[in-house]
Amino acid sequence: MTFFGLSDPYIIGAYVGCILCVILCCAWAIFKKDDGDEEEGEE
Amino acid sequence: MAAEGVPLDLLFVLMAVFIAVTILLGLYGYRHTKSNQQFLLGKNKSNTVIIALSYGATFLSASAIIGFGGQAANFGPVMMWLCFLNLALGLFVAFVLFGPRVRRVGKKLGASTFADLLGKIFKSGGIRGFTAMIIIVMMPIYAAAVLKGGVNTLVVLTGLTDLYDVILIILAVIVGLYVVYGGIIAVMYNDALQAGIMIVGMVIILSVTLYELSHASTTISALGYDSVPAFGTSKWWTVISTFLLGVGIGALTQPQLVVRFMSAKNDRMLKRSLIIGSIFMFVIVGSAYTVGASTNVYFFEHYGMGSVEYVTTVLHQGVDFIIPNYVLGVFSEYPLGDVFICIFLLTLLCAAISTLSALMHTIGAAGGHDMFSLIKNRKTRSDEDFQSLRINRIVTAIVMVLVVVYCYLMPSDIIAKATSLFMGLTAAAMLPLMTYGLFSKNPKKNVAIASMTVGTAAYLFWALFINAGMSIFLPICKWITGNPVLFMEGNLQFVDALVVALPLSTLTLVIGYLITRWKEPKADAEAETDDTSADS
Repeated sequence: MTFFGLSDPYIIGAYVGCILCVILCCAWAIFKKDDGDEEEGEE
Repeated sequence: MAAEGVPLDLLFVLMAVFIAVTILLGLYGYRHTKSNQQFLLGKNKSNTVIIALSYGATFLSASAIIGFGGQAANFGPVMMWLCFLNLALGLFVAFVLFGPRVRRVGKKLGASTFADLLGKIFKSGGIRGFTAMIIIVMMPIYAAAVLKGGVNTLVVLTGLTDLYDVILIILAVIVGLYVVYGGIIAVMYNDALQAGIMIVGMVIILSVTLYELSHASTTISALGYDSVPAFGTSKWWTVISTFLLGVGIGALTQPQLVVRFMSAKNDRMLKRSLIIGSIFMFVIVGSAYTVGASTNVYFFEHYGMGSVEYVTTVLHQGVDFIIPNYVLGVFSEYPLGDVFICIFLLTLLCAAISTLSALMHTIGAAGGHDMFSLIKNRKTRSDEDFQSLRINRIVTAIVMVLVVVYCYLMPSDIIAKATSLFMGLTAAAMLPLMTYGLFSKNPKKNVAIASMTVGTAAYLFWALFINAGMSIFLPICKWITGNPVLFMEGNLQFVDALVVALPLSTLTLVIGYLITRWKEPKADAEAETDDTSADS
């Protein structure tokens, strides 16, 4: 299997890991509930 | 080759527009900086987008693009693991685990800087002073590497080497002015502008590179760059210990990044910043490393040799020049290539300036707020924060001069290593105690001091006497022994100081913590016994 000319599974794994991290960050930001942020709307 | 490819008139126009907008944002910062607190944290002027882009742009200097991008050409796409660590540790762990805690504790204790935060957590002027001193002494090396790297690339590619001094000083003065007068507000807004330019530049370069790869007659794999270095070799130690661990872990304790958490209004803002932050970081770092590794295909097809060989033996330049030379070469074959070359140079400049401004602000705050307060406290025998916007501005201006001086004292081609040095030292000295301080209910000062001392001493000893890459900064070992490092044979000289120093500082903290836990019940029991005997 090649991925843009890459074939080493460790290298492909690094790319996949990066993409999963971005998905995790976005999912966390969207779906994680606020745990009682006491300073909401603070000015 | 280099100077011929850059349209100077177009570059000057773009630079003039960029500088004008930078100055305008500096003025915006100046108008909204009325107090020392606003200079240091700029609360109420940050939002999700600004925090995310400012964090990302500060995190990723020109070092990430040309320094580590050049290393990706040297070591191959294995450097993508650094992109993964940047995302996993430098972003996700930082924003989910540390960010909200730093913001809440910082607000509760009224801390305004990284050193101030640690000092107040442990109720220790010593820890605050020590942290501020590390920032004041070590951070200018990092800042100078960033400035020097940006200017070096610019003058070599444009052929304006005679104007090196002038460009370096003009750039330092522009950044210095907006940091001195606009404080953190000007820094963060300019960061956001620069981050936007960086995204545009890197997306264009990545797109062209992928197009080139798809039409190339060879691949990265075929050229032998598509593999992880063999375990235990010098290459493996350099990649894994210096680049991946040193920079990947070191990002968690960067004072200039921690301040971004403290300037957030609430936890929700930090959480939302993850979306833009992660996409930004993946685009910039992933593009830089992918392009870096792919330059080997381009140089092989055009010159019959790999990137490092071509740039070092034919052009007589360092690995930091691999990506710039690639961009210059590849875009000269495309319509509107001139425009893209200028956008790339502007991208590099933005990457350098965004980090430099944040570093200058952090060093200025360490001197003008932390050290100033500590000296005043010693004189007045009090224990309070002295707020002086004027002192902060004066110290930041001095820092600007200091950074320029450092630029002339430091050797060339050290961008990536200078970054590793600063990040490694702060991680070894601060990461265990910061984690302990933020998450422990009753953190002990002595435990923190022991961990910080061991981490700093171990890191400096290893960096100055054992690690070959780091000992060039201050060749003490060569002065004493005649050899650049103590052990010339074997792979020990390629092992990064962080790999040794961080476990030692962590171990010290754990032992110290266990001793205090063991002593505390004993002390309580003794107190109880005393009470009982007194009663009887």
